[in-house]
Amino acid sequence: MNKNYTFKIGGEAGFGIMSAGLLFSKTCSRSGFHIFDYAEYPSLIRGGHNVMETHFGVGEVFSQERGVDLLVALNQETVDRHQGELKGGGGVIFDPGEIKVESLAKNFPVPLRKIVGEIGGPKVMINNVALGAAVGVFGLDIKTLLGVIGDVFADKGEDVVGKNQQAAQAGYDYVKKEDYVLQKLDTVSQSQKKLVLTGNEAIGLGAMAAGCQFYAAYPMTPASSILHFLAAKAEETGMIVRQAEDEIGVINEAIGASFAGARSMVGTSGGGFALMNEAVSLAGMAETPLVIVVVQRPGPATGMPTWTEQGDLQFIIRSGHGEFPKIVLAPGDVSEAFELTVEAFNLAEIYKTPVFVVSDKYLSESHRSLERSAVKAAALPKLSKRSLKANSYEHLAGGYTTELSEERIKHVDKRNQKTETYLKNHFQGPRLYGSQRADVTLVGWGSTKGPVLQAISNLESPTFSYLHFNRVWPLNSDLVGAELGKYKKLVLVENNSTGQLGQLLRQETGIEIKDKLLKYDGRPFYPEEVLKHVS
Amino acid sequence: MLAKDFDTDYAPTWCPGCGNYGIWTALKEAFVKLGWKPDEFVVVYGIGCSGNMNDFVESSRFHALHGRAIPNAVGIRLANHKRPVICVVGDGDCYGEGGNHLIHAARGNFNLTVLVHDNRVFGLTTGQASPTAGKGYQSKSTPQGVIETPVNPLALAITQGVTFAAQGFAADMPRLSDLIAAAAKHRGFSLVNILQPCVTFNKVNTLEWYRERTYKLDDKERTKDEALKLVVDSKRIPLGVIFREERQTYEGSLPQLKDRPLVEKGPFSDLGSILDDFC
Repeated sequence: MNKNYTFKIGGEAGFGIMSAGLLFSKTCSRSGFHIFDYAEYPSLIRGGHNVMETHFGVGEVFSQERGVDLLVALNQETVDRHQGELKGGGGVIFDPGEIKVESLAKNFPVPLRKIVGEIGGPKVMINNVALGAAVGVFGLDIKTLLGVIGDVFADKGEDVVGKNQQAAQAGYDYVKKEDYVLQKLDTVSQSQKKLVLTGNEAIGLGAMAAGCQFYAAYPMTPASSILHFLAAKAEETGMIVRQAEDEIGVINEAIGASFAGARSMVGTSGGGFALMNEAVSLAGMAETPLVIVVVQRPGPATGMPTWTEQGDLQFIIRSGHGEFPKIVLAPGDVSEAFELTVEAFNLAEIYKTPVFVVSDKYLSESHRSLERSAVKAAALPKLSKRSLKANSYEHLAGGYTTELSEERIKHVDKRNQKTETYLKNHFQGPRLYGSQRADVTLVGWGSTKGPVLQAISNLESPTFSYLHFNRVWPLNSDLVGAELGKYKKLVLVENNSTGQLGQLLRQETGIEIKDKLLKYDGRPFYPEEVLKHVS
Repeated sequence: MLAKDFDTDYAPTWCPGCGNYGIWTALKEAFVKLGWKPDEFVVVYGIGCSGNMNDFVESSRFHALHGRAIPNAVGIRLANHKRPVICVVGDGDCYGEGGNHLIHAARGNFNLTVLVHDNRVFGLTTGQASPTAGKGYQSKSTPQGVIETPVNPLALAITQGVTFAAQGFAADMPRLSDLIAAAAKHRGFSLVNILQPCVTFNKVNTLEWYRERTYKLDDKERTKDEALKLVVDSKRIPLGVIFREERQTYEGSLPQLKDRPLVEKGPFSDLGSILDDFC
């Protein structure tokens, strides 16, 4: 059984909620805890309601959960919306001059704005004061937070770092003076600092480790942070990172670069991917290796840009007109995001066809702690020879256009054969987490892994297990059908309204999973919801 | 090298009298003048009658999607900037479907040569009006006559940042061949708009029609304003180098490409230093 703690900070956009949450996550990680953080924010630059929560514990943390130990409210809206989430024994840090908190277990009023005023910092620094206070009430070491601030803000200069540290220290000192205590947590010893990474950062690192030389993208939430990360490191890694004029330009440039011998990748979300579809077909026909990252968000059309969904599985599998092979990988957590991106580059070179890495906002933007050893540069995928003669028409070897019947059959068969070869040589079936004799086996793909594993890990003797698909297309029907047949009762769990993996499994194996746990409100699953459904 | 060294085993399939033959001949002559060998450069073809040249010219080649030759060419340039890249595209392809890419590649001044077969129709799809068709042009898709005024490709290119803009004529092969060679030699984004008839579908913009309106420009240097004045004149069509200037290319501005082409660089191996930021 895991005992995890939850820190949650809320306020208006523009008040550094996200960075405050990350600072707290890193402080917990450096204190030896495992973390998982999760943010919700509207599609706005200022105002609105932003929240960031860090879940931390001694053992592995797989997802967010209901129940808040410490709520840091930088505005009234945060109290009004979230005080109902407090656990018995939970507390609230807030500025009594600005915010009213009724009753509640432990109130920790801290004059955030007054303290910032005394230091002479900008108003946004109330989040630092609050962070220092949070560290104090949890009984963590303020020096750890100060160290994190120093590292994270290093490039903003000594002045800024100093002021931020001063604010944090002041918040800490205040709660110690007032003897505010929520917990008395001990630092956990660890041999090496863990990494704190989002899915997108893991994908970026995977690309670097795989020798990616060219990355192109058009800004689109929630894929943009891959572009920002790779662009920031471009000179250091020698990668060319390019923001092209539109998604059609993006993917065609990457195909050109790949044709000429560079390992190439593009990244986008559903709507941008829709624009790329013709070129997906081109990569299949011209046989140019290409890695395509799709970070899903709720659709259709513009949808809900800053929220999460697993709504594009069938679209991606069927993308690009015409029949040609494609490989679709769907990492379930940050560690898989790194590994499968590296694998994607390898598969793209071997099969000379588009390979997809499918993520979603929930995986891509949440941080999770990871052992450093999980992110090591593997042997570089071998670059396949480039013919330098490519054609979007049906063509002969040598790249000449053809319309002959026998040639067409030959080349369609050649392309389709790649699917069979992959299924024989590289496909891996789903992986079971938990007992094979469990009463219920949840079946899912991608990021539902986190909440389901958290639900399993929260119980002494879980009665359910999780069958996790992270290689979703093509599927080896015999292997997958046999696997599904091993379990007592199957329950489909997906972050969409139509159960797309379920449809795929029925198509490929004839097995229909009738019991479906589907969530499509833009939010990820919570372990509590999973538990409720299987009980 | 001789021009015939750039022939393949496939004979062109264009209509007899098509301007493409003239452009094809001039292009091969230009390669000879440049002293290039077939494996030393890449041609990126669009989709259209002109794009079928993919099968008739010996070289490294990429037969792109309709409208997308320019971004493919940009990617090819960034992967290996030592290799010259020529785009052979049509007016519908480049100015219609691919118009956005032209604008932004011009802004970047990628070291590319774009040769546009401008016959004012979509030939391969049987004759619909193209973006360069005159206002009022009647075609299968525009029986009431085109409502829009035509794209002005040279004005567009010049204002968006190409550093070499020229116009040629398919019937004047020697001069066209020189223009193509000059465009290819130029360090930066070169656009050559090549006027040609479509003998099968375009009964308006015939060889005669062009001969009545085109004139040869002198070789002197011109400011951007002077160049624009020449190309916005709808009555007279200039032939020759219209505008030329020097500006650092996109490839030349990338520190990643300072030492060697992208494809010749060794892999990045110091993940450790980047990981430190994540602890």
